[in-house]
Amino acid sequence: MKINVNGIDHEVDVEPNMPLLWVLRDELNLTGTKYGCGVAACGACTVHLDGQAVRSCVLPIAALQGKAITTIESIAKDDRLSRVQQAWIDHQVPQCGYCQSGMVMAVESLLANNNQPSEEEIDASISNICRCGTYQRIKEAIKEVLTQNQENG
Amino acid sequence: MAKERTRGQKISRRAFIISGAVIGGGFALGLGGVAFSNFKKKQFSGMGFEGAESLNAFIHITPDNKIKLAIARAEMGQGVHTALAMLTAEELEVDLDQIEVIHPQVESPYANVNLATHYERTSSSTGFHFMEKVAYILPYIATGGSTTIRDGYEHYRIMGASAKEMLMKVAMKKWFVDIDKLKAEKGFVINTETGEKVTYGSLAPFAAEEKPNNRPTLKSKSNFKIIGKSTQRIDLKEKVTGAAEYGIDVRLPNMLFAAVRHCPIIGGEITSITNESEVIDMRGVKHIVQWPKGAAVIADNTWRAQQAANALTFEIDNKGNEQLSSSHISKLLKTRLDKEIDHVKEKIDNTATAFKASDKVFEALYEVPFLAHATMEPINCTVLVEEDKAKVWVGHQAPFLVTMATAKEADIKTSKVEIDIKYLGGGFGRRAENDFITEAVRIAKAMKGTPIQMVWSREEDTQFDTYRPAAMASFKAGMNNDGSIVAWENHVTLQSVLRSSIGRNFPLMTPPESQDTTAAEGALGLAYNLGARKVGYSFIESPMRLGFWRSVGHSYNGFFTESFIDELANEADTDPYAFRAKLLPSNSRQKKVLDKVAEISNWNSPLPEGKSRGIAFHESFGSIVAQVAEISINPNKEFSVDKVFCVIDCGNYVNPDTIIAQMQSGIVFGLTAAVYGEITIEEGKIQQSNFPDYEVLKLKHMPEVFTHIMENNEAPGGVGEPGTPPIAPALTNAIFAATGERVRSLPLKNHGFKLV
Repeated sequence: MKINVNGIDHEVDVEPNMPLLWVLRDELNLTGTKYGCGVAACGACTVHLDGQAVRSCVLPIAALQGKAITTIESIAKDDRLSRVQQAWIDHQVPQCGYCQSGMVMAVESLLANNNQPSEEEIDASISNICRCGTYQRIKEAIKEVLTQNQENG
Repeated sequence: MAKERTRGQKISRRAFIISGAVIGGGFALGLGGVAFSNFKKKQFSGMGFEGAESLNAFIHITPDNKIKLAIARAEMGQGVHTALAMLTAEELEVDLDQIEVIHPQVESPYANVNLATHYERTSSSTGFHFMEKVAYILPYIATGGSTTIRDGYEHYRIMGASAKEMLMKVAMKKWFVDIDKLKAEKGFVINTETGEKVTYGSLAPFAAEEKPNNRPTLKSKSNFKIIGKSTQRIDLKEKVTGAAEYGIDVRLPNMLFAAVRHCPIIGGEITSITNESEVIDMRGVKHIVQWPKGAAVIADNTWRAQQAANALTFEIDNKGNEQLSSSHISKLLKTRLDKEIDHVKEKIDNTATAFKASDKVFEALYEVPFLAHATMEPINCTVLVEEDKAKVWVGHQAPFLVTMATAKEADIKTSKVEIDIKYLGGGFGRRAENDFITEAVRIAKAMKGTPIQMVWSREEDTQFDTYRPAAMASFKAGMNNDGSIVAWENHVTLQSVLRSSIGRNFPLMTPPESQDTTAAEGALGLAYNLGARKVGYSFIESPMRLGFWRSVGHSYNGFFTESFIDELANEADTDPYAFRAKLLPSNSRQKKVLDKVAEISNWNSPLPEGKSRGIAFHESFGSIVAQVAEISINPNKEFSVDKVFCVIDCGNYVNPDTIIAQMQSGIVFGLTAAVYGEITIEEGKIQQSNFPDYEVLKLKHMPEVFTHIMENNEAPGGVGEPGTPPIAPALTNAIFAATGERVRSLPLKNHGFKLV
């Protein structure tokens, strides 16, 4: 099977129904994308498929032929953090940090598609689970990025 | 200055007693914990310290002026790596970004004495001193009980100050100057007369030859530059870029992956696999391992291992547990509750007499269910077993148990076990258990020479947890017409966590159940004036595996006591805050915390229609916390938690931003339990298996949390757990205020309440 991850083509010898998550983690050693539930309930495995946030634990690789997959590893460019990542640091969002790859990917996708989401839209689209309870800081960090978006027009 | 000296001497004297006892009394090494840590000639085993000069067991300085700091505490989100680095940096006079945290091997200097003696504090001093010795001998390397700062607050500062003194001594000799002409700053020693400066890195090889001082002068609080100031965590960048390595992320050459299935009947055993020959032929499958409690498939990919494990079919011995159910356990609890208290742990005056003399008597019954930990990172462990040694990669709260369990299962000496402790994707007490270490070693020894990563599916993680016990409590209070409480009886029934957990992890040290004071922690020693008291607990037996769950006994006793106090306030027709305030000693730390939460929540201001407030107050793990929950609720029982006001008195603190984060964290954890949390059992099986049926709080439900930290000069208290206990009663008390419905059992979803 062929797969394009972070701009690089890979040929992997796996079953067509193997979920993308395990191709990333066990075949390509891209471990930034996390396993949390295996049933698309927690969002720890969130990646981008042609720019849209998807939960990779239920996405069979056969469905991804010819599509561009982006993982957390390629969000910072040349060690330069994205605005979302920087806001995450400024607001000291992560605690254990395990869910944060998925959180960052979900928020990156939301903001790429909607420059000024309302609070309701944020609540509705960020349904990832964090057991450390970092939600308040996630909200604050998103707000800061939104303010920057506004200032930058 | 005089005060600081006293503090150092106090530690040293206590420590002296320990070391004398450890060594046998004949040879006084002196200074116990501090001396262990300063015993720098020791060869530090394991990875991480190569190329650095060891000034003591904690501080290792490289030629390029980096500090490799040994921290044997689990970083599971609670910020301990940052906090302990701050304590060190303050006294060593380095910047935080010069410090690299290394998890050392299981060695005595890193013992968590505070945790080892945690449950001895209320018992005899004999037990306390015994456990103190045990802590060093084992050595007891573990993270839990909100003890990291309580254990490390002085120790890490002493290590930093002692290392700095050694560096300064070398500089004195180098420049032939008195110490008062020298200044240590940002990893340099500076000659203030000449302006010359030299790095710690270049002094370190000589400093390592200096005699360490076990009682260095510590800075006074007023001179702190780092401690007590909100500081950016040191682990943030790697956690937002996907680079942070958790146990599940370990990747090694030639490694294989294992998936596990456990016997679905609680306490049952798998007697055989009935389709092994079919499963072994599935793609990627290398090996199948079976033991009484479970079976594992080793394959070349986690998903293939999971597919194959799910295909396994078993013959099962139910061990007579096929009828076990939640209602059965609930009946056991109630039956036991109706009898006399087995273990009375607090008795003040005669409650029977006091009840007779009181104007009114009130009674109530409370109940909470079993709970799972549901850490975001499912349970996993990577092991390489070789002929006479083993290596383990894992995120774990008790590395000493990792070493012991590995040695036992691999039949090798503990000295032949190497550990590599990774970040924990949540712990909450679950990762203090050795069950999954033993399993991973059992699996790996079936394929010696090949590293194998065992990962439990979320379903196995949920169904083979070490649960927070279901618990029940009865209360009886005698009140007079003036609203004063003159008698208080509280009986708690549950299965013993300590016996279950220690019995699994440490059979030789299983305490008698009478000593499991976790059962009544948060019910004993309440600060309120309650008149005559009788408080204690009784245990039931069941095949359930129990464990420590964030805030342990406080998680249910906080809900029980603060709900019942609220009931009494209502019976006395008194405002819930005013009622509590009257029961607390004036000028006490407790009263100040309660008053503060009333102040910051504007307790006495009216709320609009449809909104209400609830208050709760609870002491745990050396800290005092009060919370006010402000909720909106409609007649359909749909509610939201809008704001939580939280005040904590944790004495002297290290990183205020971490405390604020931990209050938010503890509140979310407690809200999840209060609203949704419930593990139920039918026909011997756990009914929940994954997040869709074991729901947790999400972003849209998050209240705005306002935290205030009290300023004083008291001993440090814990912060990882104390935020959890008060939130459930604060919420249910708010629900009572709005609806008049008193919630006496959790979760709220079972009473028709819906979080929106």
